[in-house]
Amino acid sequence: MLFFCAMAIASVTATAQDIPELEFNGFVEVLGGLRLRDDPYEQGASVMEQRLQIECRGYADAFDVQYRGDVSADWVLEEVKYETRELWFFARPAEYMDVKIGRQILTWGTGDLVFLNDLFPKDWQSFFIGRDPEYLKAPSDAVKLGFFSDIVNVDLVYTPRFDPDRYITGEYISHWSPLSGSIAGAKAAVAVHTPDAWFDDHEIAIRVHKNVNNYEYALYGYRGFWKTPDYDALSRGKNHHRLHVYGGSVRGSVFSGIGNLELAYYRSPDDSEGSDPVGE
Amino acid sequence: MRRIAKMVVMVAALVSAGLSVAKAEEPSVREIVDHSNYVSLYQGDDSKGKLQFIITDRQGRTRKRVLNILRKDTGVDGGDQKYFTCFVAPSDVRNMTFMVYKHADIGHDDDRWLYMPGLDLVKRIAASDKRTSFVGSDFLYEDISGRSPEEDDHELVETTDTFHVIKNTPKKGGVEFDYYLASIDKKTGIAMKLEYYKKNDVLYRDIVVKEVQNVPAGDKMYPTVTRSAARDYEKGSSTEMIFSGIVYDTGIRDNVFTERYLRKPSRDVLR
Repeated sequence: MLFFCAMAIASVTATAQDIPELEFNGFVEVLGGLRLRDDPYEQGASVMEQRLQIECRGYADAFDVQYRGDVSADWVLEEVKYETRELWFFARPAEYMDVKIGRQILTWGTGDLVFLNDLFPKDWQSFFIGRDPEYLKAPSDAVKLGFFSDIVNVDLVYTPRFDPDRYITGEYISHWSPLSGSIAGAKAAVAVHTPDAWFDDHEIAIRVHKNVNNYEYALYGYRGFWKTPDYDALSRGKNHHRLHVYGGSVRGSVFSGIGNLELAYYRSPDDSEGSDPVGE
Repeated sequence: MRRIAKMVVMVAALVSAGLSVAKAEEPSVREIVDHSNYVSLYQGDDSKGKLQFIITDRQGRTRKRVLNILRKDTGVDGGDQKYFTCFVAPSDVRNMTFMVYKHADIGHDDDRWLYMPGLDLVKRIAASDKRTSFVGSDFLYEDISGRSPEEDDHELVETTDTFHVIKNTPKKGGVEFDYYLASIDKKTGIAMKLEYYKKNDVLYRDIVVKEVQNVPAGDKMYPTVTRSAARDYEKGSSTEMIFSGIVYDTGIRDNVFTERYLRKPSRDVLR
């Protein structure tokens, strides 16, 4: 694939007394990619888009707010899209506590771009068609609470409505479909049931962490759903089954480099024996 | 017995007085180097300011990097320190933060973290690349957070009216230079010129101080480098570094240098 990319960046800072300090930033990006081999199920261009991102950040004494949004013209899907990437409110109400509410990008764990205990939504489509790495992370609509002490630090993320990954659907990239026993492309839409009831189909993620002599130890827990759907033989479609994850990690210097170890245990309460590969 | 003890104390006092007189006249090479190290990195218990890098490549094209930097000493002068930086410009690295726990002991690598706000990702970075470019400029990481005097053998090669010229030769290999000369100002202790040589006395890079300001802190005055330039003769590039908005001893709290603040720096610290 061939990629070309042009970028223009603009930045403005507006300051006024007594009102929150405001900053505006943004960029324009052109991204294109062509397939070197024909894919009968997809367009000739793997990605072809123009994007405008605007960021606005406000600082007051007691809190910060941020907005970041993208408008893009997508020539592969032949549509103009808008997405709010971030829209959050942040405050430090106490010496020991941080609060961040709203649409936000969330990441934790030690694997850089390998995610075991990080069950926050990813955008695999963006990653595989070659958008900037920051687009690998899809936003969450969530509340993040951080509690800090000398003994231990705790991060708690509550997502009131399940945020799935933006997984490979065939829209940009074709994939093997075990359901049809063939390669699925842009026209092979499969019915997916995504849990979407507010405060019912929710996700809870917790991280307990501490730095001891510059070795970072963490324990993780997650209750929610598999981020990519599984085939469900009953409905002849796909379903996000329930998922519990427990894990831990340690990271620190090893010889003259960095070593990290992260473990996670994935448990499907709907099929804890693993005897039901198609969810019957 | 008591008389003998008194005499011993008196003799000791005389000897040390004699030594200190000698010291005032001719400081040892190691004293010059340690004092210079103190002046460039350890004045006050903490400091903050804005660093601007103007990078000019071989073709004369320029790029700019701006970052805010905090420093706090966690041990004695010449000992461990913590650094916190937040990028202000250019836009594509804006709000990126970088934290270093510097360990002065030889063989104890620094601990470093980088936070990328677009991904909300805290990365741990290996410290083995101390002598690589800092933010794409001609300054190296080690030029910013310092090279421990323990790592080199020091030799006074020249004394002029204003400078002590010290030749510093690495005790161990693994660095790209053979030795470097430091022209240290006799009055302030600031290394006004650093020249790095490769094999056969080939000068390949230098750093020249262009401006020093006295920055008041309480009842003290700290001479501080506010403008300097690094040139790389092999690459044909140069970088001007401007240090502004310098404040010493503001009482930066220790918890600023944690993952919590790396992910979300407090505004007063960075503006």
